[in-house]
Amino acid sequence: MAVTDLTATSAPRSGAPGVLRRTFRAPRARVGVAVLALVVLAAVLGPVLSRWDPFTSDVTAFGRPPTALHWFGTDSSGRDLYVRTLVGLRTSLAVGLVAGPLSTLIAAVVGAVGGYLGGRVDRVVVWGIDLALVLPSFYLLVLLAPTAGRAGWFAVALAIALLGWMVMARLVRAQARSLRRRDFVTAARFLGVPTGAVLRRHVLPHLASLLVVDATLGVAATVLTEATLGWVGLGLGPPAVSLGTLLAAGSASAVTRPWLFWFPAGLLVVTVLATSLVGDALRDALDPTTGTAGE
Amino acid sequence: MARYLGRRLLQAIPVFFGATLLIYFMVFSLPGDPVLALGGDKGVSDALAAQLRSKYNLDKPFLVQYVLYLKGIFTGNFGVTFSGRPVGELLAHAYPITFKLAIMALVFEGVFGIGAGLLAGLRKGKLFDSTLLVVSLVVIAVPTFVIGFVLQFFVGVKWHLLPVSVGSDVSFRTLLMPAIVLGAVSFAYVLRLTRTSVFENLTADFVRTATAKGLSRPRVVMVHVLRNSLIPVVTFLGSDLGSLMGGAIVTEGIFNISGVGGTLYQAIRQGSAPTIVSFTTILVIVFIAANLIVDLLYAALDPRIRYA
Repeated sequence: MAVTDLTATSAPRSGAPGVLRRTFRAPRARVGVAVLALVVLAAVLGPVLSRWDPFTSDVTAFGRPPTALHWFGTDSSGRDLYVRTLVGLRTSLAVGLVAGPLSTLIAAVVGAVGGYLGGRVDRVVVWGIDLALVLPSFYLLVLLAPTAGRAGWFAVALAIALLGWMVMARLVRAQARSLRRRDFVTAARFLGVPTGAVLRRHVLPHLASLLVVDATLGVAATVLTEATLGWVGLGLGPPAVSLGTLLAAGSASAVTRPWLFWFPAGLLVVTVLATSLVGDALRDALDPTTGTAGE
Repeated sequence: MARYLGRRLLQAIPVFFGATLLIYFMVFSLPGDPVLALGGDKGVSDALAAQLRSKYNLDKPFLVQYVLYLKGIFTGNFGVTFSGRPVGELLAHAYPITFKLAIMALVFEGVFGIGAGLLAGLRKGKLFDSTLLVVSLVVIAVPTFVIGFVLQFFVGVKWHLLPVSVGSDVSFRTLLMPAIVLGAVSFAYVLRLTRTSVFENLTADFVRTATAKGLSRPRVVMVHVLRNSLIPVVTFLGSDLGSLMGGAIVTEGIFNISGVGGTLYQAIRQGSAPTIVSFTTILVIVFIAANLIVDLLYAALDPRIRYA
């Protein structure tokens, strides 16, 4: 029932299959999805394929470049970089997959409530968005990072999400404001549908495309932010491994032992690039105004 | 117009207080005791600790500290760090450097982003356009520290084209490479934004009218298309000034620049609350000011916007 409601009130052009078809028409999207699938597969299965584990040292190989035995080389304590990079990728993806959608969720709730309810609630919402927007968010992240980093990857994801929802919330609010005056929303209200249900069933589905794109691009942005935090030296605390912590360790010896830096950095770029390609193609397919949907 | 500006200023006041209170609260609730940390392993005697606490108002309740702090800011007294240096001195040293860097980055991303975006928008779908689009995606996907490292290594170390780091020599020449690194990501955004905007405006009625009344192509493009396309771009650039100043931490680290990023990073590591709060408060003011400027530019660029 909920599903038919959703399709009846939103996405006037077509349902999900049409969107997917339009998305995949762009070659960029196909490349993005294929690469992303490989990346996820590598993160899930990659470490299993190796005989090494991320925390024990190979005492016969300290700081060695890539060999047949250690595919990505080893770090200065003899740990296998291939396994460490892929295990780190798992953590980074986990942070991204939590923080991206979470910040979108915060934006959706805050924006929809403010825009739909209007009045005093809306004024508080606008104030909150403006306030959060003028905060120097990366420094606050740096401030929170040591505490969050000790608490684990979930806390890092939470901190990143809490400081990154504002721009989207502003967009959602503007959309919800204009949706409020649309006939189907008015009708639902006069039929006595409770406010929460109107938001859930009629307002938010209308914004679904916007939110999906934002969540996808949010994953890419979060993976980057986590890596940057790690590079600054304030990412996850040991023994946790993420692309950020690997890059922090690797950048110190980027000239003398380049593989320690370039394998994690390369994987990071590939992951972010593939995710952005998918997000971009989704936006083009979902947004009728970009005009590329039919190309 | 003046009334509109006045209203925006009034709106900024609660935002300012809310933001500073939030920052103050976060710094206040940081784990660790800065007074005890001063003594290191030896520790600090109770009497000295109490004396320091009362000197820095650390023994007062949270809200009282906040109000005292704000009073200090409005009278130009930013407090002293625990090592005895006035925070005002640190601010006066760091902010001009980062401001210079951010302005250079802004000019770089504005000039090159708008230029490339305009060319791409005019040739949408062509090879030139798709190439630029892919380049912009790559720039967004590569972390700043990688771009910085690569540029520094090749341009600075291998080819000796530009100085490797800034240090105490802050000049246009030394800041050029850091500015490009700092502005790189925003350059990609400006490019994409301009491109979309130009492409949309090319089919607008006012452009058809301009062409129909016989204006030359360059005039139509530069005056009618570009001016209208710049509205969202200028909004982005304005708000980006704040982000650039607040996001220079990585760039400043790579190129050894003693600006806001470096100082703030040190302060956060040492838990030096007065420095953290002062630096972030000024950043908040920069953000608010940048937003106000954007609003004004908006009105200047878009004749359809009239503020009652």
